[in-house]
This record gives sequence, structure tokens and C-alpha cells, in this order.
Amino acid sequence: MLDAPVKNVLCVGIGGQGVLTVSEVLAQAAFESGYDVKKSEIHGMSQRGGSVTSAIRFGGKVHAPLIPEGEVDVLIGFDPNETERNRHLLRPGGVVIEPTADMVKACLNLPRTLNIAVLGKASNSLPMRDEAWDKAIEICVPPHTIGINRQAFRTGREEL
Amino acid sequence: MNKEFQNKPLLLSGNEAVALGASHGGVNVASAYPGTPSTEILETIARRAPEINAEWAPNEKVALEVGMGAAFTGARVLVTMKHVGVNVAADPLFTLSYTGTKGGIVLVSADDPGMHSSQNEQDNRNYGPFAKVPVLEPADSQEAYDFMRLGLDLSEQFDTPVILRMTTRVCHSKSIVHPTKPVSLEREYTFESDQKKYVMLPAYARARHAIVEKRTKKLREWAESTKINHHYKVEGAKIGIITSGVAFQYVREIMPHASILKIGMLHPLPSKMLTDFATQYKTVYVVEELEPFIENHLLQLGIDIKSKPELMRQGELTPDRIRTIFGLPATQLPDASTVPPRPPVLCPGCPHRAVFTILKKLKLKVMGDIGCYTLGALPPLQMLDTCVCMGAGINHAMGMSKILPKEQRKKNVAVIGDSTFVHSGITGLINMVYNGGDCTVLILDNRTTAMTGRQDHPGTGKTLMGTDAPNLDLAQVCRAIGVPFVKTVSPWSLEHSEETIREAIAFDGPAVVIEKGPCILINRKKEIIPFKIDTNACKNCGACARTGCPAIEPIDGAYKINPEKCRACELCYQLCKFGAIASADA
Repeated sequence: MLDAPVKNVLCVGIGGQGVLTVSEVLAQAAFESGYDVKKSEIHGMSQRGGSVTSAIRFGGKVHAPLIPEGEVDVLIGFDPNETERNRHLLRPGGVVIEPTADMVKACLNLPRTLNIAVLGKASNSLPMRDEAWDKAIEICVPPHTIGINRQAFRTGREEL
Repeated sequence: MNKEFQNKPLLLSGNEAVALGASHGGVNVASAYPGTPSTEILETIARRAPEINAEWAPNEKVALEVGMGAAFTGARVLVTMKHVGVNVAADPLFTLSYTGTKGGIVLVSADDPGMHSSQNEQDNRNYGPFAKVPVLEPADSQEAYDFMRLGLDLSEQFDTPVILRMTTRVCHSKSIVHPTKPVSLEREYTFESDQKKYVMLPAYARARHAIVEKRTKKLREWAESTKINHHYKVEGAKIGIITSGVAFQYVREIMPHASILKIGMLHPLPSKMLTDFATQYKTVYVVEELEPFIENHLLQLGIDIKSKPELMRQGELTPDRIRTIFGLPATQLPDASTVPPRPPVLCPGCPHRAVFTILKKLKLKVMGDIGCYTLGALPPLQMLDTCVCMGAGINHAMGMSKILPKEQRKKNVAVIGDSTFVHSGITGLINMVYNGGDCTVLILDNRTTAMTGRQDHPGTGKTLMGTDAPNLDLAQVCRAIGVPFVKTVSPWSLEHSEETIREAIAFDGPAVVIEKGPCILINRKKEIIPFKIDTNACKNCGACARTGCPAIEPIDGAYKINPEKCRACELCYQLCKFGAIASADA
């Protein structure tokens, strides 16, 4: 574990899309898995319609809380403009995960969980196991929504 | 932060770590004024460490003085603020340095390099030597926790307040913390009279200054052997880098082959340790965020360093800027996209938007200050002409009115929020009455301290802990000050609001209009029936869109209201001359 290379995930979107919740869950899942984790974000812009970005870095040992340019492994983009704005920071071969029509459909009965479904899809590019994700969701979302969030996550994770 | 200590690691932000450190370190009293990036420290204490007497103060000077009083009884105290808040608390700070303390007192200065949400990026490490107070600077959440506790111990050991200097990327970044066993303090709290210590008459102050100078020497000796100043030695390294705070993390990231001297105590600096380090390396660099603080000390010591302060003085550091500082090639990246920036704006339904719309119609110049209403400066409203610091707008208007001829004077108004008014607007208003100003002041009373996340203040009727508090009646305050014209209106009654503002401006003498309407984000209604634009009746005049409401969007050449964003504030409905806007319910 101490040697595990650092993986960098950048979550971007606008206020109201649940970007920071996704970032919390992701960081927590990495933490539950025993990695060293650092997460950074700017507070206060999402309420007022501003761009929201949060960087999560995890691995054997993480130094900077910010991701060096060109080293984003996974870009999770909730808003097309914000995704575009940050695309150039990807590592060659880095992946972009965005909401799909299928995800939106699947989440219609699971109110306000589309963000977690997108995270579910992203989880396929990340090393954390089911148990870590489950625990992270339990810790980070409002208690009465744990069930639907876990469901949404599975939908995204199992989407082909 | 339960009574039983759990010895397991936690993923915490720097602010949360400070709160935990305060609790484990035996803090009894905490006082603060909200200020990004420090605000969550007290909020976390309120939520998770209710055994601490925690409260919002009207401003940072009060916060530090209240903290001081408690510390004089032997209590352990935490006071927090953003960097500019220390300017407000500077008066008590400089003399608290002389009196020293009985119980440990730590002042968190949360700086904002890059000005993510501040009006300047001052480097508050400089307060250390200026006020003669030790400064600790953590580089991550573990150190935020550890240095909070260490600060309390140092404060008592050396009889001094201690500044804990943090920056946005430490405050708001999360990293792992391994907490340690909380202290168990058995103390009796009393205030013992000791005039030579607490009463800073010149004769006593002179004696205390001598004590302060001796203390600084002792602290410097302590700094020479403390583990918080640490040499990260890389065998065979030719480069030595001296750094502090989060910059240390960036240096480690980008320059793994260099040896690093990481400074945890920025004042007093360990001159011997610095000199020793410098002799071990062919080339010595300093990397620090904002001012060449460490660098200037090294230059004073005559140490030769590869000096690049101009590359660090402005804006927050990033790993990529470290590459530039060391002449490493920039990472090859594809071109960045040209998507327009998306800055924060006033929320849909914000009462300030209604007020600014009127001010724009009246073609006024607006002196303002710090709060959500600062966003009134942005297009399309662009109705803010000065913003410098808390409470300044009132005084700007007053200063201008001393010189400007009547027709210009009558074109100026000052705006100030409710929390800001309590913070530092009252004295400005007193001055206006006392010195005979002819100015209009609009108190934008949205019933909260909004920009920092909707905290309570003396005018909201609730405390930090959620208990009821006497509700400061701002209209009464204005009347008591002697303002001859004081009226309260709702920003949502556009006609009445406009009429009252006109009256206030026409009035010769100080006039206050309190625009009282809650921030849209407090007591959020669950069911909102949005408004709708009837495209047949709409003449595309753009009056609704020119308010800048984010819910009004031009789509295919026509204005439409986004039902997910609309908060049914009725501003556009009142403005529409063609009756094209109505509730979707109607």
C-alpha cells in the first residue's frame, strides 16, 4: 500500500449538482481502503452558481492536495462546460466520466442521486472495492438516503 | 468528539482538525467572526464539541478581547478569523503580546493567497515579528491538529498569545489525522489582580516590553531544537529548499530529489538551524507562499540563496508554479478550452438583486463593502463603486459628501449588510450624524451573515449554538444614534422601496433605509411554484434579464425562466411592463 502510485480524480460541475458530495464519498472510500488521501476544494461558489471543482488524490503517500496539470487520471464532469474547461488537465489516457441518458433514466425514481450514479460508473476506473464504497456512502449521505444512493451507485457501477 | 477518545485515524479538513485539536487540547472558550477560509472551525466546534463555550462575536476585535478576558482567568482559548480579520483584532493583539496570558490563547489567522474570496492577499506571518508573537504554520490537517494543541502549550509555557497561520489549501483540504489522547486539565479559574501584567500604563508596559524581548530570545532557542522545524534529508542532494506551510507539499511533489528544511514555527525563525542547513547544500532556494518572509530573514543572516521572490508574491502557489520557480519545463498540455468563466453571482431570489435594480434605475453611485452584496458589482447590474473593507461604504459616502457639490452628493448611496453593520457600520453612522453628513445609507438586512454560509449574528435573534438571543433592532439603533430619517421597507415591494430610497436621498442629512428581506437560502421553501414568461406577450425588451437573474435564460432568441432555478421572488414579474410574466400556477 505504501508504494501504491498516486491516482488523481478531478470532480467538476456547477452548484446544485452534488459535486462535493461525490468528492466526499470518493475520498472516504479511498480512506476506508487504507490509502493516504488528500482532497481539496473551494467553498462557497456552488450556492451562487459558480464553478465547483474538487480534487481527490490517493495512493501510498500523497503530498500536494492539488493535482499537477496533466496528471488527472479520472475527470468526473457533471456539467458539459465545466468538463470542457478542465479537459486539458487530463493525463494522456485519462478518462472522462459524464452522466448518460441511461443513468438519468435509471435515477428518475431515485431523487437527487444522479451524481452518485455517475460516481458508480467512475468507480470502474478506480481500485476501491464494493465494501469501501458502501461504507463511504453510509458515512457521507443523509441517513434516510443511504439506500437509494447505494442503489444509484450500483446502477452506475454495473452500467456497461 | 465524544467523551470517550477513539484512537483511530480520521479524514478531516484543516479547519475540522483545528476544532478537534481545540477540543482535545482543553479549550474552554472560543470566539470568532465568520471569515472564509476560517468559518468552519467554530461551526465544527459548535456541532461536535459543545462542551466548549463557543460564540460568534460582532467583530474580530471583540472576539479577541473576549478570548483574552477568559484566558486571564486560566481558561484555554481559541479565537479564529480570516487574514483581514487580524487587522481588526490587531489593536488587542499587539498589547496582548505585552500582557501575556494565564491560560493558553491561540489565534487562527486563515489567509487566502490568490484571493479566492477576499479583498487582498496579505501574508499574516508578518504579524509575528511585528506584534512579537510566535507563529506556527501547519502544512496539512495532522499538523493543524498538532499545532493547535502545541500552540496552547507554548502560549502557557512562554506567556504569550500564539498565532496559528493557515491558508485556504490547508483549511479546506482534507487529509488524514491521527489524534492523540486529549488532555485532562484540573484547573480552578480565577482572575488574580496583577496590574503590572494586565494594566498597560506606560510604566508597566515598558517593563513588559523588556519581558517580551527576553521571551523572543527564549522562543528562538526553543525553535532551534524543535521537531516542528525539520530537515527532510535526501542523500546526495545538491539542492536545499527552505519552505513552510502547504508550499512544503508542493515542493515535495515536484522536487523529490531536493533536501527540504520545513519550518513549522515562522517566528521566531531558527537562525542557527537555517544557517547550518544552508552550508550543507550547493544551492539553497526558498519557496514560500506570498511574501519573502523566510527569505528576508536569511538575507539578514547573510545566507546566499537563489532568490526568486517575484515568482511567489502574487497568487496562490500550485505544484505547476513550483516547476516554473525551479526552471523545470512546463507540462505539455493540449490547449485549454475557451469556455467563459463562471464566477459566483447573486442567487435567484436574492433580495439584494431587487435593491440593486432600483439603484441602477436611479443611476446612482454605490459605496459598499464586504458581503453577498459585493456581487452587485458584476454585470449586468454593475452597481457597486467602492469595496475596500468591512464598514467602509458608509464612511466612503461620508468622506465624499464633505467635498462633492450637492448634485453629485445626492447621486451617492452607501450599502451595507446587517452583519457588516453590526461588525463596523455603527461607528460610521455615528460619525455621519455627529459630523453632519448628508448621505443615504441602505442597510441590506437579509437576516443573516450570508456570504460565509449564513451564520447568526446579534441581529438574527439566535446564537451560534442555536439558542434564542435578544434580537438587535437595527432601526432602533439608527434612531438612538440620532439619524433623523429611518425607514424600513421590504426589498420585494419594488414601488415602495424605490419611493422610500428617493425620499431618503432627497432628505438633507443622514438617512437610513433598512431593506429588510431574508436571504433566499434561509428557511428554504420546499415547494416553489416558479414564474413563467408568456412568449406571446413578451416584447423581448430584456428588462427582466438585465437584473442578471440566473433563472432567466435567453433560449433561441426568447427569454425563458428556468423553473428549476426560479425562486418565485416576483422581481421580474413586477418589472415587466407588458404583463408577460406570471406564476406558472396562474
